[in-house]
Amino acid sequence: MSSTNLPAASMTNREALSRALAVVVEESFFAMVDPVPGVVPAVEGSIVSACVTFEGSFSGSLTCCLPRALAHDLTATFIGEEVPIDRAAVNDLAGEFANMVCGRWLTDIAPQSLFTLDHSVVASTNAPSRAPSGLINGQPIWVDLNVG
Amino acid sequence: MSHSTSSSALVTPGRGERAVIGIGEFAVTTAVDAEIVTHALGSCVAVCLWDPVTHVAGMLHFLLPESKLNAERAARQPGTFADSGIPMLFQAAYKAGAVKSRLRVHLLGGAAIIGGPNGLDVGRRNALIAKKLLWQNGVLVKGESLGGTDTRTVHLFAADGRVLVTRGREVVEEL
Amino acid sequence: MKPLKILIVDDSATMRQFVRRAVQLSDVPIATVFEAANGKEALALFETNEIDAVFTDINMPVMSGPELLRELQRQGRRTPAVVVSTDGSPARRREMEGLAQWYVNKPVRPEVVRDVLNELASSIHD
Repeated sequence: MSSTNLPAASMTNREALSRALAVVVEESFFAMVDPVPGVVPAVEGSIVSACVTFEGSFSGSLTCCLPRALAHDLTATFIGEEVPIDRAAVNDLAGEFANMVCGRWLTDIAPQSLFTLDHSVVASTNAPSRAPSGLINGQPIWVDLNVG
Repeated sequence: MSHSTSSSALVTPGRGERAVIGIGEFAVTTAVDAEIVTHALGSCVAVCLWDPVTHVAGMLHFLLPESKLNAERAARQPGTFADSGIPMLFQAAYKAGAVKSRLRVHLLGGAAIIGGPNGLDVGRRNALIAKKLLWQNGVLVKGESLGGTDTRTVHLFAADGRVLVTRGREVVEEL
Repeated sequence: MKPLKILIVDDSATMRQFVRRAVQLSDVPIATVFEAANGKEALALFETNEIDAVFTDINMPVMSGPELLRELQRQGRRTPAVVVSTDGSPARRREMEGLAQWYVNKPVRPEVVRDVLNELASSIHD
């Protein structure tokens, strides 16, 4: 992550990103982001990836990857109702999840700047090989920033 | 004053009575001038509900989020857990004449108690699961007193639905 | 209190569903909830329906929230507006002053939607 044109040190931005993720997960999904244990739980099923690009005083993108099963659970929690949840709804929620984390992060680290966020791009992908950012309901989530 | 005499713990205070509930217990009353109290609410959460038309009032004091953590205890005392206790509280309230759309629900407790038996996070987890269950069941929270590091004593008055938090004799918060 | 006709504008269908549910669970009588995925769709709904209040996101494709609210003002409509956005910066809030009367940040709790709707309903009926 490039930090040359960011208003704060990269370590602070990683902390801010963790905080943004935690706030979104608690406020909208009534869950907590838990630390990753020594052994990462194996992911069953596919992974959904949601990428939101932003432009403003600096530009970049934020990507969230999470198991589709987790995205499905979060969708059910978010909507609150017991309605059949289809793939389109899960993809939509994944995109909105990334949008909320990105927006919260940008608000925290650059409150005096205006940013535009594009509509999230959602796709199926493989589980990233790097360590997850945390666990939600025992399932891994990866949140990555690409700035500059 | 009413106390629960059973660990499965539904207490039903009568007219003018003050019912005290403990961990894993709940009380529902139709007596307009009854009061329900719970003491030493730390990381536990109290769920209070009140119907302004029928004056049905209820309170649950739960300890942990999910009954799967201890199936044996959940069977013996379902009020110990949010996911078994909250539905039980609401069902008892409906049976007593409460109507869901009218209910005023308050959440209290969920403090971070240093040295508590389940770590500092359990209070937050209790608060989160209570909010989740209520949202999933179409109930919005009227007010809350959650978090912090102090224990709470909570009073619910069936006459007017007032929820008070006290410390000793002092009223520290009215919701 | 006359039941209200609410319009929810957001490019996320699940966010629209969330706000819809929170609105319908509130104490405010609701006649109809309309939905639009962007400002342009919202304007089309305004052409054919009486709308008492609008909840709108900011960043949307085709037409953004600020563009929608500016166009509504240009048309002389004085519909009460609530911004629901991930952008909670003072800079954005300043931009939205004069365009929206209420501003709530995502992630937003359903109780906050209820509270804003209560205030909005009171302001309409005062």
